Amino acid sequence: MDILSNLPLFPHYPNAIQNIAIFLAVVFFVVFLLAVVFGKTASAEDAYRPTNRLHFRIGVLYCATVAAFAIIKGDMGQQAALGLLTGLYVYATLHYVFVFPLIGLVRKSISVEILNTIGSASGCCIHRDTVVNKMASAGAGVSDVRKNRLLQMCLLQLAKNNNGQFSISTRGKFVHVTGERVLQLFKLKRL
Amino acid sequence: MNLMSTLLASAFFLSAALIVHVATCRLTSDRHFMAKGLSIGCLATLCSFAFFSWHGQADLVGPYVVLTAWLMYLMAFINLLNSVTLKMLASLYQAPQQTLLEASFKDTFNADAGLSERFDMLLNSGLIAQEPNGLYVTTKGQMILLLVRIVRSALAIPR
Repeated sequence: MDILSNLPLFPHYPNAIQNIAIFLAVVFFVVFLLAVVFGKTASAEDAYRPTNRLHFRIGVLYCATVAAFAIIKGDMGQQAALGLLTGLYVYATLHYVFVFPLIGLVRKSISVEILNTIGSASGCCIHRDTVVNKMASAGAGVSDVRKNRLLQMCLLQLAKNNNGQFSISTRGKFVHVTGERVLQLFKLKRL
Repeated sequence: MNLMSTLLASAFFLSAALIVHVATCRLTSDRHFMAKGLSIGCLATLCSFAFFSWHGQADLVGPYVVLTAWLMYLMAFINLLNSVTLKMLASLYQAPQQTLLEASFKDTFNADAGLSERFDMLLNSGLIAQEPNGLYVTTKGQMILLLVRIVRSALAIPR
């Protein structure tokens, strides 16, 4: 506990379990990151599910560790629970705010693919049509993107594919309606 | 301050930022949406840090909660505005009997309604530039590509 209190910009709440929970959240996130890097979980075609599964399993280990500390210290009250919830928030956001979007950006972003294709061209410049053709021959063309996004829609259970006929699911309807209401509130239009 | 007070104060700063963001979006045009969103979020985070420091608590938990909650909120918007998947979902929702064949999604994402818009977005953001001979990646764009290569290499993501 003395080590934690000497760390700069580290919380020093009166409840020791709260301090431990927040510190361990960062430690377990680093463990998760190392597991993703060395386990190459983001290299699979469906990179999200194995990465999220790994994140969940390490998250369970984290909860068990914090609970063990709480039992040893004899502090299993509301304050300890609040510390655990805050720690879980820190652990989850370190992944979903800083790692998860990077995987999506690198794997899925059409804009990044366009940038990559232009950047890889020999010579100083490349015409727009050439970029589109190169992306198509690299399996990142318009029809490839469309097929990939349709597959993504089904993997996320937003729609069902019945022999090439797609129908929206209940979850898909909810996601769509909620999204539309939010856009209306902010007076925004889709790209 | 204890943890509960820290979290309540963070929630207050987030609520204030949200009200300012809604008002800004409704009262101004939809241009520079990300710049406005990031500016409001940074301001809220800095204000929360100043507030906690003033209370003798210069730790990162409160500002971290404000910053990450705001970033998640903006990320949800990026997906909502740009996601091809959600645009396809919208087409499916509006279709007769909410059912479509794969070929019918061509209207949702094709070379015009998809790639062209992204080319224009990259030009407007200064990540690529147009010459008489064609397009090239600017220095700003090169930095993005370098970041992408580093992440791809670190996470073993194939091209």
